[in-house]
Amino acid sequence: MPKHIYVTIVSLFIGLALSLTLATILGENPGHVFLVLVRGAFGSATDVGYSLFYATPLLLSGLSVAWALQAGLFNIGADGQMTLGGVALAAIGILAHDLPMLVALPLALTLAFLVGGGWGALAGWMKARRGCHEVLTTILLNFIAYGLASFFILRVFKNPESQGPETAVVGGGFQIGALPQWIGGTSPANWTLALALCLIVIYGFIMGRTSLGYFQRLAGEAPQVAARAGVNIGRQTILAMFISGGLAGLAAASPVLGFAFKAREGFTSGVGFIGIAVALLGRKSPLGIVFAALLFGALTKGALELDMDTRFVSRDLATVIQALIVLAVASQVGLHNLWRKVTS
Amino acid sequence: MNKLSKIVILTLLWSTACTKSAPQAQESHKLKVGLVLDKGGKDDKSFNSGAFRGATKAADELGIELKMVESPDDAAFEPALRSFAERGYPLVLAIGFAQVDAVKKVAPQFPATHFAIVDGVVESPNVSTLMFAEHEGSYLVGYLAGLMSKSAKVGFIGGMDIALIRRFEMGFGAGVKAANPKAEVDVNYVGVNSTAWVNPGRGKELALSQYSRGVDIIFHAAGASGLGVFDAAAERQAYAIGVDSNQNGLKPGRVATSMLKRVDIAVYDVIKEQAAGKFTPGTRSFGLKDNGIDYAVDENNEKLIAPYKVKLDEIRKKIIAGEIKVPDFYTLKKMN
Repeated sequence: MPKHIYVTIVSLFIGLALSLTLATILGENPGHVFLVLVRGAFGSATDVGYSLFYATPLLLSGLSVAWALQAGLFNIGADGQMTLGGVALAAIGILAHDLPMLVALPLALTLAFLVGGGWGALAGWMKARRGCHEVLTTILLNFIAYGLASFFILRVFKNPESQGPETAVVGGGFQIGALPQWIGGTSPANWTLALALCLIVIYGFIMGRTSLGYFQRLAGEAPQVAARAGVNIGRQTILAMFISGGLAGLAAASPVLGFAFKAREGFTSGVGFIGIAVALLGRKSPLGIVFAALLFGALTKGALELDMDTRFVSRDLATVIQALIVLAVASQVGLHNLWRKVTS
Repeated sequence: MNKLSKIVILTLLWSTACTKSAPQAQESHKLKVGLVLDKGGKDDKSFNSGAFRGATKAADELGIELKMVESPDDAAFEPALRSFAERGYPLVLAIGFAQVDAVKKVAPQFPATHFAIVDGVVESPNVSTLMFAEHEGSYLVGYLAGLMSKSAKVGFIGGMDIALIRRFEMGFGAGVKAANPKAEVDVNYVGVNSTAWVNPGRGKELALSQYSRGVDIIFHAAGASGLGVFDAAAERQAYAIGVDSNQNGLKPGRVATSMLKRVDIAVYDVIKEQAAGKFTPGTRSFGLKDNGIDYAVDENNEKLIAPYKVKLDEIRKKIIAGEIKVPDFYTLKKMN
């Protein structure tokens, strides 16, 4: 196993140990907290299902951020791209209400990819043609995306039967079915999970085996070399942001078509941002992303139980754990050196 | 690899060691009640605070075991309700219309568990729906505002622009006009999405601008955003009217009264019925007649509203008797 995997695993333990120490200081028994987390995430088929349900959009948003990272771009806009992708899913599901599933789902998913991708490509275009840094533009485009989403959800596709800020329900052909009971129990875990896993395999293949992946990585890792070799860096940038945004758009499939069957305001629950942590923790590798997304999904589910079964800590502890893990990973260089000293 | 496995083993040992020293959880035979609050949280000093207060009162007086969960977003309602049901809580309370979908989904899966939801209708044999006649109370405080306003301009600040809050607005406006037909009502909403409940900064901004336009008393129905309205009232030495919980004490002397939506009474009653084995499913409406809707009088506003009290109580009686018909947004607009 390459060394960085050890470093990642050690970061995990450091993050977990620090958080549990914090819980101890607050008056909890760390073993109990840990058990509550594990039992909450994996205690029953339904618990596992919920963990998978929370992991599903993270797989795709993590993948989205990872793709951009391969091309040397930092996509902070996955949340906005996902939001618009979700609005597109709901919109087509309402407008083309009666389509049969075989037509409906491919149509809807393609549309979400194009809408999310278009939003990402906008930032890519600004970078390629105008030199605007993508971190800035993607963050700012998020706010515009939220505003647009509000407009479409509340003014155009508003659910007339509910007081909540949500669209009407999509047609039956657009509703993605739940996973079988033996995997997901009675949880809302749905077949978007399979789609996400397929896309991750395709991602690994493209990055490792195709010229598309090669040029994307070349543009990211050695832009000057790429430019000398005749690669159009601007085009690679726009393409990378388009695909990254498209994947983020697809991340909306599980919450919108697999769970609520409508787009609610704020349905992303920050998944686009947690995707950044997933991509970093998973080090852009397909297996790493799967591992990180499953870990964060399980933490999210496990944390819900903290509210019920502990006295002094709440679900926010999971956010602390996530933050500490990311921090530990981010300080990997120092850890790596430390590791070398320990092992030598 | 050796070092790594050592670290892993040590961590595991440490956590198991800690587990063994853990005190055994005490099994109690008290009635367990699960409470799932809406996004404002138990400290919104308004709607959720009311529910929390009622449940705490039940915990103190009836000796029940209360467990409370605040929900950060809409996706967390369902697992929270389900977790309570799975843990064998006989009664689970869902506060706020945002939980309607979650209750509709979870309640049929746990037929032996009783659920109660405030502000949203769910029809299921194990669900009790608690509704309030907000328009009646709004009419009453609107009448007070109409009497009190010297500039004949009163304000209304709503949280999220939804039917429920339009119901407050409509009742309030009718009350104002009844007291002073010449009075104008200035209406603003904090926003169109759920962050509108938790934005005191914007609440204050809207209130200041209404006061600048000559409004001298504002009624808010904006959850935690309403806290900004009180700040503005104190700053401009004008008046505000609170909502849901008794907010008279937030800025003593500047809060004319609070329209009480006694979520605490409703919640307390449901818990009490469950404790007595008399849980009843179906829709129940609380209004002026049973003090489920009321207006607050305490040491902070006693003197201020003393001149109007007799008139207000007369209006209250008339509403209860049906002599005054308060317009209801729900029935007029066929919503909800």
